[in-house]
Amino acid sequence: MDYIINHFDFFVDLIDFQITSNCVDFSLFKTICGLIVSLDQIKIPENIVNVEATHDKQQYSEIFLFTISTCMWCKKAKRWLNRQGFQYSYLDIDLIPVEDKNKLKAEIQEVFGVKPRFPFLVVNKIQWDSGYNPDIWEEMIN
Amino acid sequence: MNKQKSYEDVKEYVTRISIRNGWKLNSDKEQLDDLITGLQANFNRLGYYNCPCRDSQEDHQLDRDIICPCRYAEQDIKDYGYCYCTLYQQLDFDISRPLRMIPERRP
Repeated sequence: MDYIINHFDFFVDLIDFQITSNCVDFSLFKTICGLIVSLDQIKIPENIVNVEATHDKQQYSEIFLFTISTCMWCKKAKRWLNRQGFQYSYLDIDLIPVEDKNKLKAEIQEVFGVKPRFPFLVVNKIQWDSGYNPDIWEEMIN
Repeated sequence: MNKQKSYEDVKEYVTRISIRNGWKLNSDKEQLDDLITGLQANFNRLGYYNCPCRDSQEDHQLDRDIICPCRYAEQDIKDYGYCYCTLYQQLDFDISRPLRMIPERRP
């Protein structure tokens, strides 16, 4: 799974080459699509908070953050995104019923293949990072 | 129902814990404030001081290892200079060092 994400550009080029050379291997395409993980595969409760962008720059990345409302690292993460002026959405997972939360965490683990710790960032629905790592985030988002 | 804790109650509690263990509290005012208000919110909602940076099961028994000071704090402070949420730090911890999230020791 990580291999696909890390070599995403390569696979896009490969498919592009197959299409332009008129020899599309659909089995390969299907395999790749099946392996690509996405936030869309997770049922997210409705208590999402949307934060508007505070700068006029074009933002190409869609940012979603899973957080704990009481967590210092999560507060730092929100402040960092605010300072950068990004538009993003977040969900404080501790503010939803515990059964829903456990289900959500299990789905995150199943889809992204990692036991999440918070803040948990998802960029463009497929790239993720577990924990507060602004240096990595900057690269992911830009 | 537990009596609700004020900000000052929580600050007194964590100060007592830090002195008893030979630690100090996070010296960054904004971070300390976030941590104390997080602990306060957890106590007033759950009835115990669940670690503000860890997800609770809303069950005292299931969360007992992450009730502040958590079971992992002592070892984390020895190894990294501060605990998972950064509330408690080694007495001689260099405050000019940037804080980064440490690995989660909880199984």
